[in-house]
Amino acid sequence: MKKISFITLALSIGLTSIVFSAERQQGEVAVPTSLKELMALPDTTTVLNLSELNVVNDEVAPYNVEDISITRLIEQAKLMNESDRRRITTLTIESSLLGNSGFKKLAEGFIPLFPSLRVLKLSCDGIEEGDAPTLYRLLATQPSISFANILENRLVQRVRYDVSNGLNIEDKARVTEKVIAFHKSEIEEIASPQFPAKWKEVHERFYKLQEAH
Amino acid sequence: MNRKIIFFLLLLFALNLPTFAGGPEEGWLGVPNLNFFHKGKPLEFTRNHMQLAHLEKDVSDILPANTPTNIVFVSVSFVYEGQFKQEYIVGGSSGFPYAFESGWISLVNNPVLEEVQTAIRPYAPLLQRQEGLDGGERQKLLGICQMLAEKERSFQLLMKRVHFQESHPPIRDILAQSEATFAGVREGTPGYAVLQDLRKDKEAFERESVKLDNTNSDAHTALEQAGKKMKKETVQENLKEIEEITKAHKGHIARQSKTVDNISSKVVATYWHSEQRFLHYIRLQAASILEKITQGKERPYAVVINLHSRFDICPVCSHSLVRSCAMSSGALFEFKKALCAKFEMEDVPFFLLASFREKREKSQYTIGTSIPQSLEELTKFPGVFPLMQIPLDK
Repeated sequence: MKKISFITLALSIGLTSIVFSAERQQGEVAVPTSLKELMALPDTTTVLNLSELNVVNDEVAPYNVEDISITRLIEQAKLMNESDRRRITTLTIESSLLGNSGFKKLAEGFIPLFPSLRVLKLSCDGIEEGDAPTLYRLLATQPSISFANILENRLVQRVRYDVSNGLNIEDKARVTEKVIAFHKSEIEEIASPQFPAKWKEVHERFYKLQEAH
Repeated sequence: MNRKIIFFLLLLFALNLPTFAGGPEEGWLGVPNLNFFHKGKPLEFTRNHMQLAHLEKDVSDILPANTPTNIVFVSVSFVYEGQFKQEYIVGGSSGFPYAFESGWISLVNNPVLEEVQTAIRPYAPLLQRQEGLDGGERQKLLGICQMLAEKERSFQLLMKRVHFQESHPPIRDILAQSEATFAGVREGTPGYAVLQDLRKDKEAFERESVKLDNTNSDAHTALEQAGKKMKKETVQENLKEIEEITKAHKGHIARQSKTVDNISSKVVATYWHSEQRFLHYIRLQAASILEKITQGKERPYAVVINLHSRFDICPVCSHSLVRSCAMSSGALFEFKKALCAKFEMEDVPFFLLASFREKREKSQYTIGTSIPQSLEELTKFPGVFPLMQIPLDK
């Protein structure tokens, strides 16, 4: 009887140590770092500029091991304090390899973590024409957004087309109130009757704000 | 009684075990040596492989210690009535053997020069001291210089003895060739995991290459459009806009190019090893090799390809070699067919014998329980190729 108890004890000690060492090893592999720590953001920060982070979509991530996948970015953003996230009003991810899947994950998993977001800068991120519904959904579910700059993406062509060719009233209203789809030099093109007049005003306001900064 | 029988059986089993176990995938059988009997006479192929192993070791020894570059040498032998003859070590037109290497780097740059830089660097500040080097330091530096000079001499000698296959085909061709090699591999069979990864890599390469083309053309269009909108009265503003557009696209193109480069590097590192380079070479050069080895020769009883590799065989190469013999479109199958045509034979027994010197850390092997003793027996193991380890002294 004593012998059996001893064996049981030894086994349980062995198992416990294996479990603990496995946990320790896991902890060592995936050190949880919040986005705030990763970027050494000050406590008062309101602008999140991720352009230098090399954010890539999940399909590319296994090949670009030194870059950060959109899924990992979401995990790290979740580790930020809610109050820190609430403070962020501007998000910039430019010239990154988001592509279709990356933009969808950003819109559905990352941006909702920042409820006070007002300015979204997504210029030249490889976002395709087919991603327009994701953009329209994002504008509907994240009313805090005032400006969404999508220039230098193929998505721009689709948005322009949709606005002039029968997008539903709600989406059209949101797009023309918030989306920047024309360069400053192209503003006169928005004056054409196919686009609502307010879209031009939004662009003018946006570029005035840009200059002020 | 029972114990004695069991002990006897275990002993018998242990004595019959090969010194090296079977390969990581089906198709390879670990054997203690590559000597087989034919018509009652020994065919000592181990000796051939030892010769190739020495050639390989000479090359591997001068590679930087931290470079896991594989080096492969191959020869072709003909078997006649109870004897064999090594006809040819695969090499260039100058007669030098080819070292089929696995990486980009190998000996494109002189590795000894790199070693010199690393070894001498710590002495640079010491040499600038007013008092110079002390006796011990001077002695040590002299030793290093002598060792490096000796290495450089060996390197130069070696470069005269062996040639290196440096170039590789375009990535698209490597992917197509690899896919052809693994064609028909079905789920649940060996090689399926490799095929799955290969398809993923191929898809990623195609997808990201198209994106790179699109990115370049988008940048071109965007700049063209911005240029057209230039007006005298807004030149400053227009130029600023062009600058911003350029900056955005430049960054995106750089990242997209890096992605395509990374995928290409992975493809070369995974599917274009020494063995594939050899198969590619034999496909391209089959006619000239056959010319050299068949001219004035009698019809052989069998043909043997002897392949020696620095490292043991990986799953990708294992399948590539096995399938190159088994598939009618395979490089070695086609080589055999062309050889038969030269000798006006319908078919010829064709064997692939392999050896390696260094075991990779991550390799896992299963134990082979029976090994063929004669060439005739080897034919009873269709698609099974003997593999032995040659542990030369370091």
